[in-house]
Amino acid sequence: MNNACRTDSACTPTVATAQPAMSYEPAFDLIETESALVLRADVPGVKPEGVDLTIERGELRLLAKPAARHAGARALREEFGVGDYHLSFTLPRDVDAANVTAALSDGVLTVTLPKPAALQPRRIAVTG
Amino acid sequence: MNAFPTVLNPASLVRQMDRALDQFFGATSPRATPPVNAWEDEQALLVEMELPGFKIDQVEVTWERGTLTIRGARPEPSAAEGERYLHRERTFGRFSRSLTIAHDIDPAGVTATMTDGVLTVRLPKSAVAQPRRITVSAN
Repeated sequence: MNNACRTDSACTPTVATAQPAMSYEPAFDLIETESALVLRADVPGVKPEGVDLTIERGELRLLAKPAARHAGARALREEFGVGDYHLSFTLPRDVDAANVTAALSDGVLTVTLPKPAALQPRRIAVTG
Repeated sequence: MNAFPTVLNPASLVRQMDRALDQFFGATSPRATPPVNAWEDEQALLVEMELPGFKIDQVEVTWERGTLTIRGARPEPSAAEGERYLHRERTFGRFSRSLTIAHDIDPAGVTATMTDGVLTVRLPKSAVAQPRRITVSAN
């Protein structure tokens, strides 16, 4: 019994879409290739200057702010909310943080996190 | 005045709940009917849909007798050799969404733009539906 819930509304989980100031975890894929980890995150409405990406002590943190839209218009229907995207997780592999690259295209952020050179497969030429 | 018939609201509520559940559990299936937001100013209705990763030629917008239909397909990227998914959550595939709009719309003026993965359809109100300021003259 939770005594902090005094009214129905205080106990009902907020539907995220109704809150303009909410933040959202973007849908994302994390792919491992031979040479890198590749993150692809859906962040519709975000421009490159709205992205803040840090990698520190093996943790990736992403904050992406969508550009304002429809200022002053009257909402007729709101099925999804617009707010900041937050994502953070511990990287499952060592990465070469100095050589991480990120690109944003059509609302999809692609972050390429190379594995350290020592962990990358090398093909050894055999001389005869 | 609400431009959308209220009979659509139960479905809208279901989708809102889907979205809320997705936030907790992660999306598990392709969303066949993506959510929309709709807005209104004096000149037009604006309908927006988040379509990250879609190219403009992968989206089709039609307006026919009071119904706006948005269709599209985001092809799944083909996995290259040696690629392995550690986390997979983004959805791909086809979708279709139709909205009945009860405003008088100027069909020739309907436009659609894609910016940063957000589709915005602008439906200009026909001249008769736009507010007019009437000058009062002294008699």
